[in-house]
Amino acid sequence: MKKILNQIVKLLPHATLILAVIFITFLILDQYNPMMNFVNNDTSMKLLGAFCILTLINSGIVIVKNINLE
Amino acid sequence: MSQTTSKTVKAAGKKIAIDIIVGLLCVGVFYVTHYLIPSKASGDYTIISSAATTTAASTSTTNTNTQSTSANTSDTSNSETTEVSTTDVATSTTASKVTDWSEKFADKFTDTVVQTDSSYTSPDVSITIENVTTESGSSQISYYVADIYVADITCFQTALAKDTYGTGYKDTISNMASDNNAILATNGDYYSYSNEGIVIRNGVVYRSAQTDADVCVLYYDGTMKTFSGSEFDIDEAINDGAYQAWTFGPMLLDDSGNAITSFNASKRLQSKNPRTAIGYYEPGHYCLVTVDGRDDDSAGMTLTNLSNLFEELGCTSAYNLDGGKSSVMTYDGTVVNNPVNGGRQSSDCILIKEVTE
Repeated sequence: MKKILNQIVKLLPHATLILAVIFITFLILDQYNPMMNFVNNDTSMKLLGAFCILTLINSGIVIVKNINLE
Repeated sequence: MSQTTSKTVKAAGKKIAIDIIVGLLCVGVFYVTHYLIPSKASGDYTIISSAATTTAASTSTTNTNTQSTSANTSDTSNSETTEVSTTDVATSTTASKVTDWSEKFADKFTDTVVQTDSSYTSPDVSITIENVTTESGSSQISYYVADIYVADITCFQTALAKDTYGTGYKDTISNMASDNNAILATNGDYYSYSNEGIVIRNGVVYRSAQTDADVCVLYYDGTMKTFSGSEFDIDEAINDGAYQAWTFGPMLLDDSGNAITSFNASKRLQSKNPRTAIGYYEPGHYCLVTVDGRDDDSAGMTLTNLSNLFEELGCTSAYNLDGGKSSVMTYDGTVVNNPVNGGRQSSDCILIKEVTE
């Protein structure tokens, strides 16, 4: 169980990074062609929600790790 | 110590690079699934009949304000929801003749079809295409103005690629024009590049999800109006007898028909580009403008240039449609302008055609 949890914790930053890359690309594309609606569509909104949750979890983990280091 | 740090940085860099590639691949998958793979939308659409605008149309004068008031005061419910195909639409719109400008523009029409390389006249349609080149050197601009008179609003139609409403359906303007026996055709607003925005074609409401973008509506009574996204009301448009509606923009003239300098578009989109736009003079009299760009012979137009052009043409309302590589105008089966890299396929187009009863 602990192994699986460790694996998930290891994968979280990668998932966050991937979502960040997706959104940066969407924002750039949106500048060139806002009519394509890359940022405001339903799928993007769901991905944004997932990105926020992942960021919260990652931030929590990093904060806990920093406290342990201190 | 520094060697260990360097190794760590390298390993981390590799992992980050892989993540970036995965992220970009995800964007690619998103693009393909949302925009490229043809997906037919559900078939329950509202059909707008021309009934409510009959009164307005029969009392039509050159004063467009009078007409719009007549249409606005109409309280007749003139829409129904049903499953239609685009072929059904063409049939139903052909049947609903509410306007007749054949006498009003009698001097523009001819008893028989008279066709030249740049003009077409018949008992119902008059088209004159003018190629204009302004300025010189790197600022040179080449554009085409198609001056259009129609005896009946049904001569002004739109078509969908593959005769289907949905995402991912694309075709060249030439093919769509040929499939629909169009005399003149230009690209429309490329509706399928977004899941939102008002889409009304030949009296059928395919999409009613509003956005912030300006909206252009052509009514059955022949009037054309532009709205900002915030002031547009789809129910009001349906009650007023909307026949076509495009969501791209921005609008190019103010309510008095004067050029504007502030547009509902990002600065990037306002720069010099190939353009396609529609202009309105009075019911039955319209113009379609295609501007070449991104080429040594034509730099393209800014939105300000385009707005000034429509003011000079004397239009009372004008609206920018999809531009760039999409800007294509065809006449009698031939591409009139010089599209960037030969142009690209589009999801829809505007057609001027003879309508046989």
